[in-house]
Amino acid sequence: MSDTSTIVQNDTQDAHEHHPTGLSRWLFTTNHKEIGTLYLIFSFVMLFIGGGMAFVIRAELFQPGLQLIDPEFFNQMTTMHGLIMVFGVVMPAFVGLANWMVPLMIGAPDMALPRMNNWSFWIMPFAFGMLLSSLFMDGGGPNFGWTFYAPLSTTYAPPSTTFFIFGVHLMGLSSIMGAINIITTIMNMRAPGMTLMKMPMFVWTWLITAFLLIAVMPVLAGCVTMMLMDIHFGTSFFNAAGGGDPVMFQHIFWFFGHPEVYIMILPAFGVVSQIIPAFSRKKLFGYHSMVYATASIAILSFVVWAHHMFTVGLPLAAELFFMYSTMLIAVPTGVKVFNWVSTMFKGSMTFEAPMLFSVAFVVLFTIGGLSGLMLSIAPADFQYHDTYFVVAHFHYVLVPGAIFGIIAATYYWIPKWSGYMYNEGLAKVHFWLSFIGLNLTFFPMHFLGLAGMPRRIPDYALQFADFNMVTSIGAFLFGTTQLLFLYIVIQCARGKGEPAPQKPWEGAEGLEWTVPSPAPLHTFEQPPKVD
Amino acid sequence: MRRITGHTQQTGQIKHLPVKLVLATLLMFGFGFALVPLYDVFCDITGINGKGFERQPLTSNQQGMPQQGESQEVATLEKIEATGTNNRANTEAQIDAEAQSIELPGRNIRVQFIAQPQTGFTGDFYPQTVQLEAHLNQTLTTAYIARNATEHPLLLQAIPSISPSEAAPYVTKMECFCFQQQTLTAGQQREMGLTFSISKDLPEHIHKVTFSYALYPMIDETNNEQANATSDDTDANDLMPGGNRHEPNI
Repeated sequence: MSDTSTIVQNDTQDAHEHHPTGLSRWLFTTNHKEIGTLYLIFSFVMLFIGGGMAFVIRAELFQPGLQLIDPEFFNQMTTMHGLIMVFGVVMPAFVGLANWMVPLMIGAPDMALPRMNNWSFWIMPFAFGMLLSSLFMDGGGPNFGWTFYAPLSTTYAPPSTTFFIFGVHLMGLSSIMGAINIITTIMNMRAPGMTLMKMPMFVWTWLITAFLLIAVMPVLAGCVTMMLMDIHFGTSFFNAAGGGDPVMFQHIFWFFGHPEVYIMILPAFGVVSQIIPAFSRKKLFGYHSMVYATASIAILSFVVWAHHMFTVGLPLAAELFFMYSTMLIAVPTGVKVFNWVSTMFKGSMTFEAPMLFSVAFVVLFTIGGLSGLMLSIAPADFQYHDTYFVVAHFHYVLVPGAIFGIIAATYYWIPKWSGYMYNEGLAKVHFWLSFIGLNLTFFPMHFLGLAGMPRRIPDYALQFADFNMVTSIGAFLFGTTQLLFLYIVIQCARGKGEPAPQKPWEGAEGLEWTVPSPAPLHTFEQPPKVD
Repeated sequence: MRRITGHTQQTGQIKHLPVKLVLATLLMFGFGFALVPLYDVFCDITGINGKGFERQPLTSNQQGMPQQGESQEVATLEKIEATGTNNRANTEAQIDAEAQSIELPGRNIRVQFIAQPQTGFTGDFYPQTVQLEAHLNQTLTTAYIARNATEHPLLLQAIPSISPSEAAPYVTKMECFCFQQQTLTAGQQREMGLTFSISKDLPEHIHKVTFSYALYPMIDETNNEQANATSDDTDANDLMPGGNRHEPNI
């Protein structure tokens, strides 16, 4: 196989068309488009599972007092909601988008390592099957928060924690393999003439994200391995009685955890950097500064981790260092926001669903960034720490950030995936209901946090009742609205709708619009020429 | 099967890049574990973990100490009752300290002691002295008292912490019950000694240093059903063949 000549290549060109059918088509597929679809479907399923848990949480918090569930189960819900949304929704969705779009955008015929691609997807259902099954075990599922701080996750953890640990190992393995695949594809399989600085922004952000994944996912794997050893093999990494240190757990976790939050947002930056120029009918303003800003954010993400731990008793010098380095991240992020706004400035803008979600992304992500800046101020953080202000902050960067980025990408590229246009009217309804629901849910959380409502509590003091009720109503609205999104996507997939032209968006640019809609299983067998 | 080759000229790299990336992954996995000793070394150098310097002989900090200080090197000060009922003892101690401050150069600081018995330990654990007036560079001895209220021997480990952590590098412990595990037989009550000094280089703005000890039982109370069955006539050390390993309650 290694000495395959050009002639053999041409002879076997059609071999791929005889792919298996039925279930084995999906089980054994090595096609980047099919695997991309699998990732996106998986992430969609997980969105509704994680969203269902959010429903349980908000239903319990609708009124003060304990009405529906036990506090123990509430803890499992907050933990699993976080884990599933981070590892099961946002990350697989972006890997799915990368699988579909990166080869199409750089003019490659497939991913560089197609069999590993298959494996890295099929690990995921097992990882999450294992994680979710722990909810039904004796002692319940993980109940220590998605950050699983030791010794809560070791000494005081339920017996099912071992399943959680192996689940994290597997999803880490899957992410790392996905990242290796994406880097290799981007570095080796670009069409002739596609230099690094000609790559679309989505490809750039994913290249940088993939490097972040390779740098930090192994550290997370090491962290949970230490937990495993503490629980079962008598070590004392995080056990003070044996000479270990629970604070060290937080250092190791956040050394992974902070780059992780950029892993979840950088691909969304890439998506809106594709969509905003398309619907402004202008080139992206400041492409080079966008690339450098993304790289700066990625590098800075390694030196800010302890801003999650301002209250553990850091020395003053460390508090100052992490405070200033965190504030420094606002500079490249500001550059990006400036560039998006400048791209829209004096553009011939239209507001189809992808653009609506992207504009909302810019506005709402900026709000989340601003509350992040407030949290970065070490002396002020002592008040905000572990309150709903933090919850409001990271939901503002993750929901209108990562999730809106994924939804915008879906509307933008689904004509290419399915060959049919989505229902624009319904998509606009989806946008406005999501926009209202989201702000109704998360904006009052700022006030709750500033007034002192702690995170991760199933019951609260009476003065928080009104805002919590508003938040719960917003959450029910936002969550239910996503069923509309599901309906719109299914309609497209079933071929209900107008057939999509090769390039459905007037202002869109890029190689992905040079292939037919729907994109055939094999594209760019002959590399395109990029000038 | 067709091998997918790169469009770009770097076809030779296609094999090597994934290998390099896998190596990078393994390297970062190792780095995760390397963070553990790195963390300890970093804390040792900077002293920011609130542990202080243990078992170190009196170093240069002590050299500047005047002769008359040597004679009083080990001075156990009057204890001040936590309840405050014994006001006389309280004032006497202060007078004592004041009297000494005339003899010794340097300033006085207040040293406070707190005890934190951890979950699973049944018994009492408290400092003999809640608060001392201490001289910098003076070697002081005090004690903590621990009582085992159970019917079986307990193996205990105390984990120290010094607050503010900024003061930790200036504290030297010559003798501390936290240096090794302590065994308490059933019902035994014992004084556990602590000898330390605080360097005269302690920053000016620190007037108060708090020593905290978290006392961990090396066998969880909840696991003691099995332990009880066997422990009546066995040594506590036999209960923990792994030495200083803690078996978590899972």
